[in-house]
Amino acid sequence: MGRNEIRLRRKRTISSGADRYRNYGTILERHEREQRLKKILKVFVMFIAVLILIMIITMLGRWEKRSGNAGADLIFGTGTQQSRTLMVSSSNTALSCDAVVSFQQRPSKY
Amino acid sequence: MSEDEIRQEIEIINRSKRDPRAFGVLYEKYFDRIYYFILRQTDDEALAGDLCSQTFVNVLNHLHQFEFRGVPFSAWLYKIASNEVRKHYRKNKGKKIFSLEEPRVKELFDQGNDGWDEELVEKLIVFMNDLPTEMLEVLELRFFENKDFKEIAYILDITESGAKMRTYRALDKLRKNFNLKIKYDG
Repeated sequence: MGRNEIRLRRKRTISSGADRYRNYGTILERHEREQRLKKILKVFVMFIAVLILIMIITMLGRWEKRSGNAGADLIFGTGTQQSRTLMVSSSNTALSCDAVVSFQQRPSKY
Repeated sequence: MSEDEIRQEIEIINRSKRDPRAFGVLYEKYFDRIYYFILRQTDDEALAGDLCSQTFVNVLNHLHQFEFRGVPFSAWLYKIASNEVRKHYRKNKGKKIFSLEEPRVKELFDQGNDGWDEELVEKLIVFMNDLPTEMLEVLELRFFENKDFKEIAYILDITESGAKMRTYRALDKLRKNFNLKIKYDG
Protein backbone atom coordinates (compact mmCIF):
# COMPACT_ATOMS: atom_id res chain seq x y z
CA MET A 1 0.00 0.00 0.00
CA GLY A 2 1.26 3.46 -0.90
CA ARG A 3 1.55 6.47 1.33
CA ASN A 4 -1.18 8.24 -0.59
CA GLU A 5 -4.68 7.45 -1.63
CA ILE A 6 -5.59 8.20 -5.22
CA ARG A 7 -9.27 8.66 -5.92
CA LEU A 8 -10.83 9.18 -9.28
CA ARG A 9 -13.87 11.44 -9.53
CA ARG A 10 -16.18 10.34 -12.31
CA LYS A 11 -17.58 13.82 -12.91
CA ARG A 12 -16.05 17.26 -12.99
CA THR A 13 -16.69 19.16 -9.79
CA ILE A 14 -19.44 21.73 -10.21
CA SER A 15 -18.40 25.30 -9.56
CA SER A 16 -21.63 26.01 -7.63
CA GLY A 17 -20.43 23.58 -4.92
CA ALA A 18 -17.90 26.12 -3.72
CA ASP A 19 -20.53 28.86 -3.35
CA ARG A 20 -21.79 27.34 -0.12
CA TYR A 21 -18.47 28.18 1.53
CA ARG A 22 -17.88 31.53 -0.11
CA ASN A 23 -18.44 34.28 2.47
CA TYR A 24 -16.02 37.14 2.73
CA GLY A 25 -17.94 38.73 5.62
CA THR A 26 -17.19 35.74 7.87
CA ILE A 27 -13.54 35.74 6.80
CA LEU A 28 -13.24 39.44 7.63
CA GLU A 29 -14.95 38.91 11.00
CA ARG A 30 -12.58 36.04 11.87
CA HIS A 31 -9.59 38.13 10.80
CA GLU A 32 -10.68 41.08 12.98
CA ARG A 33 -11.30 38.76 15.94
CA GLU A 34 -7.86 37.18 15.55
CA GLN A 35 -6.22 40.61 15.28
CA ARG A 36 -8.01 41.73 18.46
CA LEU A 37 -6.87 38.58 20.27
CA LYS A 38 -3.34 39.17 19.04
CA LYS A 39 -3.42 42.73 20.42
CA ILE A 40 -4.78 41.55 23.80
CA LEU A 41 -2.07 38.89 23.97
CA LYS A 42 0.58 41.49 23.13
CA VAL A 43 -0.66 43.82 25.89
CA PHE A 44 -0.78 40.90 28.36
CA VAL A 45 2.78 39.84 27.51
CA MET A 46 3.96 43.45 27.92
CA PHE A 47 2.17 43.67 31.29
CA ILE A 48 3.83 40.44 32.47
CA ALA A 49 7.23 41.68 31.26
CA VAL A 50 6.82 45.00 33.14
CA LEU A 51 5.64 43.09 36.25
CA ILE A 52 8.69 40.84 36.15
CA LEU A 53 10.96 43.87 35.69
CA ILE A 54 9.40 45.62 38.69
CA MET A 55 9.79 42.45 40.78
CA ILE A 56 13.45 42.14 39.79
CA ILE A 57 14.11 45.82 40.65
CA THR A 58 12.34 45.46 44.04
CA MET A 59 14.25 42.28 44.86
CA LEU A 60 17.53 43.91 43.87
CA GLY A 61 16.72 46.93 46.05
CA ARG A 62 15.97 44.72 49.04
CA TRP A 63 19.07 42.64 48.50
CA GLU A 64 21.13 45.82 48.27
CA LYS A 65 19.60 47.12 51.50
CA ARG A 66 20.25 43.85 53.30
CA SER A 67 23.83 43.61 52.05
CA GLY A 68 24.33 47.29 53.09
CA ASN A 69 23.21 46.50 56.68
CA ALA A 70 25.43 43.47 56.79
CA GLY A 71 28.33 45.66 55.66
CA ALA A 72 27.60 48.12 58.45
CA ASP A 73 27.52 45.28 60.98
CA LEU A 74 30.82 44.12 59.68
CA ILE A 75 32.29 47.61 60.07
CA PHE A 76 30.80 48.49 63.46
CA GLY A 77 30.49 44.97 64.79
CA THR A 78 34.01 44.82 66.32
CA GLY A 79 33.49 48.18 68.02
CA THR A 80 30.36 46.99 69.75
CA GLN A 81 32.12 43.83 70.74
CA GLN A 82 34.99 45.89 72.14
CA SER A 83 32.60 48.08 74.06
CA ARG A 84 30.85 44.94 75.28
CA THR A 85 34.19 43.53 76.42
CA LEU A 86 34.97 46.82 78.06
CA MET A 87 31.65 46.76 79.83
CA VAL A 88 32.22 43.22 80.99
CA SER A 89 35.71 44.00 82.20
CA SER A 90 34.52 47.14 83.98
CA SER A 91 31.71 45.23 85.62
CA ASN A 92 34.26 42.64 86.63
CA THR A 93 36.33 45.39 88.13
CA ALA A 94 33.24 46.72 89.85
CA LEU A 95 32.51 43.25 91.14
CA SER A 96 35.99 42.83 92.38
CA CYS A 97 35.78 46.28 93.97
CA ASP A 98 32.54 45.26 95.62
CA ALA A 99 34.21 42.11 96.79
CA VAL A 100 37.08 44.12 98.16
CA VAL A 101 34.68 46.46 99.85
CA SER A 102 32.63 43.65 101.28
CA PHE A 103 35.76 41.87 102.33
CA GLN A 104 37.00 45.03 103.93
CA GLN A 105 33.65 45.68 105.51
CA ARG A 106 33.09 42.20 106.91
CA PRO A 107 35.78 42.08 109.58
CA SER A 108 34.55 45.34 110.97
CA LYS A 109 31.28 43.67 111.80
CA TYR A 110 32.87 41.03 113.96
CA MET B 1 -0.70 36.64 -16.28
CA SER B 2 0.11 40.02 -17.82
CA GLU B 3 2.26 42.64 -16.10
CA ASP B 4 -0.72 44.96 -15.98
CA GLU B 5 -2.77 42.41 -14.06
CA ILE B 6 0.08 41.79 -11.64
CA ARG B 7 0.43 45.55 -11.05
CA GLN B 8 -3.31 45.86 -10.44
CA GLU B 9 -3.20 43.02 -7.92
CA ILE B 10 -0.29 44.59 -6.08
CA GLU B 11 -2.23 47.86 -5.87
CA ILE B 12 -5.19 46.01 -4.34
CA ILE B 13 -2.87 44.24 -1.89
CA ASN B 14 -1.29 47.54 -0.82
CA ARG B 15 -4.76 48.97 -0.30
CA SER B 16 -5.81 45.83 1.62
CA LYS B 17 -2.88 46.25 4.02
CA ARG B 18 -4.56 49.45 5.22
CA ASP B 19 -8.17 48.34 4.77
CA PRO B 20 -8.82 44.54 4.70
CA ARG B 21 -12.22 45.12 3.08
CA ALA B 22 -10.42 45.95 -0.17
CA PHE B 23 -9.20 42.36 -0.33
CA GLY B 24 -12.72 41.17 -1.21
CA VAL B 25 -11.98 41.54 -4.94
CA LEU B 26 -9.06 39.11 -4.77
CA TYR B 27 -11.05 36.78 -2.52
CA GLU B 28 -13.80 36.51 -5.14
CA LYS B 29 -11.23 36.05 -7.90
CA TYR B 30 -9.28 33.24 -6.28
CA PHE B 31 -11.79 31.50 -4.02
CA ASP B 32 -12.84 28.84 -6.56
CA ARG B 33 -9.29 27.97 -7.57
CA ILE B 34 -8.09 27.59 -3.98
CA TYR B 35 -11.22 25.68 -2.98
CA TYR B 36 -10.81 23.12 -5.77
CA PHE B 37 -7.08 22.88 -5.16
CA ILE B 38 -7.83 21.90 -1.54
CA LEU B 39 -10.78 19.68 -2.55
CA ARG B 40 -8.48 17.72 -4.86
CA GLN B 41 -6.26 16.98 -1.86
CA THR B 42 -9.01 16.13 0.63
CA ASP B 43 -11.99 14.81 -1.37
CA ASP B 44 -14.27 16.26 1.29
CA GLU B 45 -16.32 19.35 0.43
CA ALA B 46 -16.94 20.48 4.03
CA LEU B 47 -13.29 20.02 4.97
CA ALA B 48 -12.18 21.82 1.81
CA GLY B 49 -14.54 24.69 2.72
CA ASP B 50 -13.06 24.92 6.24
CA LEU B 51 -9.45 24.75 5.06
CA CYS B 52 -10.18 27.29 2.34
CA SER B 53 -11.65 29.72 4.89
CA GLN B 54 -8.66 29.19 7.17
CA THR B 55 -6.34 29.82 4.21
CA PHE B 56 -7.95 33.21 3.49
CA VAL B 57 -7.95 34.16 7.19
CA ASN B 58 -4.21 33.37 7.27
CA VAL B 59 -3.72 35.39 4.09
CA LEU B 60 -5.40 38.42 5.69
CA ASN B 61 -3.45 37.95 8.94
CA HIS B 62 -0.13 37.90 7.11
CA LEU B 63 -0.88 40.26 4.24
CA HIS B 64 1.53 42.87 5.64
CA GLN B 65 4.35 40.33 5.15
CA PHE B 66 3.65 39.81 1.44
CA GLU B 67 6.37 40.99 -0.89
CA PHE B 68 6.33 40.65 -4.65
CA ARG B 69 9.09 38.20 -5.62
CA GLY B 70 8.50 37.74 -9.31
CA VAL B 71 5.68 35.22 -8.94
CA PRO B 72 1.97 36.12 -9.08
CA PHE B 73 0.02 36.69 -5.88
CA SER B 74 -1.93 33.47 -6.56
CA ALA B 75 1.28 31.47 -5.94
CA TRP B 76 1.38 32.89 -2.40
CA LEU B 77 -2.25 31.81 -1.91
CA TYR B 78 -1.46 28.30 -3.17
CA LYS B 79 1.53 28.13 -0.85
CA ILE B 80 -0.59 29.02 2.19
CA ALA B 81 -3.33 26.59 1.08
CA SER B 82 -0.76 23.85 0.58
CA ASN B 83 0.64 24.46 4.06
CA GLU B 84 -2.87 24.35 5.51
CA VAL B 85 -3.54 20.96 3.86
CA ARG B 86 -0.18 19.63 5.07
CA LYS B 87 -0.96 20.84 8.60
CA HIS B 88 -4.32 19.04 8.46
CA TYR B 89 -2.71 15.71 7.45
CA ARG B 90 0.03 16.06 10.03
CA LYS B 91 -2.59 16.62 12.73
CA ASN B 92 -4.85 13.76 11.67
CA LYS B 93 -2.08 11.36 10.64
CA GLY B 94 -4.07 10.03 7.72
CA LYS B 95 -3.07 9.10 4.19
CA LYS B 96 -2.88 12.02 1.83
CA ILE B 97 -5.70 11.94 -0.69
CA PHE B 98 -5.33 12.97 -4.31
CA SER B 99 -8.73 13.15 -5.89
CA LEU B 100 -8.41 13.43 -9.64
CA GLU B 101 -11.21 14.14 -12.08
CA GLU B 102 -11.58 11.39 -14.63
CA PRO B 103 -12.36 13.71 -17.58
CA ARG B 104 -9.17 15.68 -16.90
CA VAL B 105 -7.10 12.53 -16.53
CA LYS B 106 -8.55 11.29 -19.86
CA GLU B 107 -7.43 14.52 -21.46
CA LEU B 108 -3.90 14.02 -20.22
CA PHE B 109 -3.63 10.36 -21.18
CA ASP B 110 -3.97 9.55 -24.81
CA GLN B 111 -6.71 6.97 -24.39
CA GLY B 112 -9.86 7.10 -26.46
CA ASN B 113 -13.18 5.96 -25.10
CA ASP B 114 -12.42 2.45 -26.31
CA GLY B 115 -9.05 2.25 -24.65
CA TRP B 116 -10.24 3.76 -21.36
CA ASP B 117 -11.55 0.77 -19.51
CA GLU B 118 -11.87 -0.07 -15.83
CA GLU B 119 -8.74 -2.19 -15.92
CA LEU B 120 -6.64 0.69 -17.16
CA VAL B 121 -8.15 2.97 -14.51
CA GLU B 122 -7.29 0.44 -11.80
CA LYS B 123 -3.78 0.11 -13.19
CA LEU B 124 -3.34 3.89 -13.20
CA ILE B 125 -4.56 4.25 -9.60
CA VAL B 126 -2.26 1.45 -8.40
CA PHE B 127 0.64 3.02 -10.25
CA MET B 128 0.00 6.51 -8.91
CA ASN B 129 -0.36 5.16 -5.38
CA ASP B 130 3.26 4.10 -5.60
CA LEU B 131 4.49 7.55 -6.63
CA PRO B 132 6.01 9.59 -3.79
CA THR B 133 3.92 12.48 -2.43
CA GLU B 134 6.46 15.04 -3.70
CA MET B 135 6.02 13.81 -7.27
CA LEU B 136 2.22 13.79 -7.02
CA GLU B 137 2.25 17.35 -5.66
CA VAL B 138 4.35 18.53 -8.58
CA LEU B 139 2.19 16.68 -11.13
CA GLU B 140 -0.97 18.11 -9.62
CA LEU B 141 0.30 21.68 -9.73
CA ARG B 142 1.74 21.29 -13.22
CA PHE B 143 -1.10 19.48 -14.99
CA PHE B 144 -4.21 20.17 -12.92
CA GLU B 145 -3.47 23.75 -11.85
CA ASN B 146 -1.41 24.69 -14.92
CA LYS B 147 1.37 26.30 -12.90
CA ASP B 148 4.79 26.98 -14.37
CA PHE B 149 7.95 25.63 -12.74
CA LYS B 150 8.85 28.93 -11.10
CA GLU B 151 5.47 29.03 -9.34
CA ILE B 152 5.66 25.33 -8.41
CA ALA B 153 9.07 25.92 -6.89
CA TYR B 154 7.73 28.87 -4.88
CA ILE B 155 4.61 26.99 -3.70
CA LEU B 156 6.48 23.84 -2.63
CA ASP B 157 9.51 25.71 -1.31
CA ILE B 158 11.96 23.94 -3.60
CA THR B 159 14.28 25.11 -6.35
CA GLU B 160 13.07 25.54 -9.91
CA SER B 161 15.44 22.84 -11.13
CA GLY B 162 14.14 20.57 -8.35
CA ALA B 163 10.56 21.09 -9.56
CA LYS B 164 11.62 20.31 -13.14
CA MET B 165 13.50 17.20 -12.04
CA ARG B 166 10.54 15.86 -10.06
CA THR B 167 8.16 16.43 -12.98
CA TYR B 168 10.53 14.82 -15.43
CA ARG B 169 11.01 11.74 -13.26
CA ALA B 170 7.26 11.36 -12.59
CA LEU B 171 6.44 11.67 -16.29
CA ASP B 172 9.20 9.25 -17.19
CA LYS B 173 7.71 6.67 -14.85
CA LEU B 174 4.24 7.23 -16.26
CA ARG B 175 5.43 7.08 -19.87
CA LYS B 176 6.86 3.61 -19.36
CA ASN B 177 3.44 2.28 -18.38
CA PHE B 178 0.89 4.48 -20.08
CA ASN B 179 0.31 6.21 -23.35
CA LEU B 180 0.98 9.77 -22.26
CA LYS B 181 -0.28 12.75 -24.21
CA ILE B 182 1.40 15.37 -22.01
CA LYS B 183 4.88 16.60 -22.70
CA TYR B 184 7.60 17.63 -20.34
CA ASP B 185 8.11 21.25 -21.27
CA GLY B 186 10.69 22.33 -18.76
